[in-house]
Amino acid sequence: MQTYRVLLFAGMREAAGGDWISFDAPDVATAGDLLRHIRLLHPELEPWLKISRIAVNQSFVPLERGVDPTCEIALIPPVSGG
Amino acid sequence: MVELTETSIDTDAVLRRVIHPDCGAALLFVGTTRRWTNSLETIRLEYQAYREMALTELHKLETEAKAKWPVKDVYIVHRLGEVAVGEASVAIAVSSPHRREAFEAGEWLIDELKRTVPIWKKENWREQGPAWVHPETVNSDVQDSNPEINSNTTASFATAHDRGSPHEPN
Repeated sequence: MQTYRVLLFAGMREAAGGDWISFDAPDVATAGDLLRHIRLLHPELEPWLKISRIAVNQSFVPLERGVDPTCEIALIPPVSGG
Repeated sequence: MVELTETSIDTDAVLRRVIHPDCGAALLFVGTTRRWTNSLETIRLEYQAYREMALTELHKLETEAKAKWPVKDVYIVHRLGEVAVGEASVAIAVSSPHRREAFEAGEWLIDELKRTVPIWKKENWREQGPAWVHPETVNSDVQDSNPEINSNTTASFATAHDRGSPHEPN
């Protein structure tokens, strides 16, 4: 069992009621697995999960990439700076 | 040079930073909070960043612009927190020996900033209240990293589209 902590931004923070979520998961291996766990545990984030990417240590990663729980993990919805 | 700031942007200072004796052109772009988007009135905007990643991405844009065009200096500042109508949310200054490169690099920098840098804008509409803006336009990088995304994806929460056209401050 490993504890994952995932940073949230913009509307996701308001939906989840915090700047991050954390959860224990036994079988997370890839970014895609992580997304599936978040989907189950946080249905309130679903609208954003459909359109977000995962960043690990401040770089976007593909869904098949392995994710180490000691890394900084973030969900990045479509950006709107400028 | 790139910067995120919680206070108002001194746009004159941003421009001064890039002026250089080897350059015949210095260009400044300033994005400001616009009051009207069609018939919808904005009271203020609020910006939030994934700070470390935003700085990394801004640095990448500076490096890439310098590789693509013979620009001498690039200075990008983005404001975070509340930005009132008429105030600057972003300033980009570019200097180059000749004007064409400065114009091209400046336009490319603001376009890429809006597309790639993890900063989010919250609209505060007078009538409809607050809403985070998540553009519906999805680029190919997103599709690569999330196969569920397609170009027709529309989020079910309040996107800018639900309330008129996306807020483009510039």
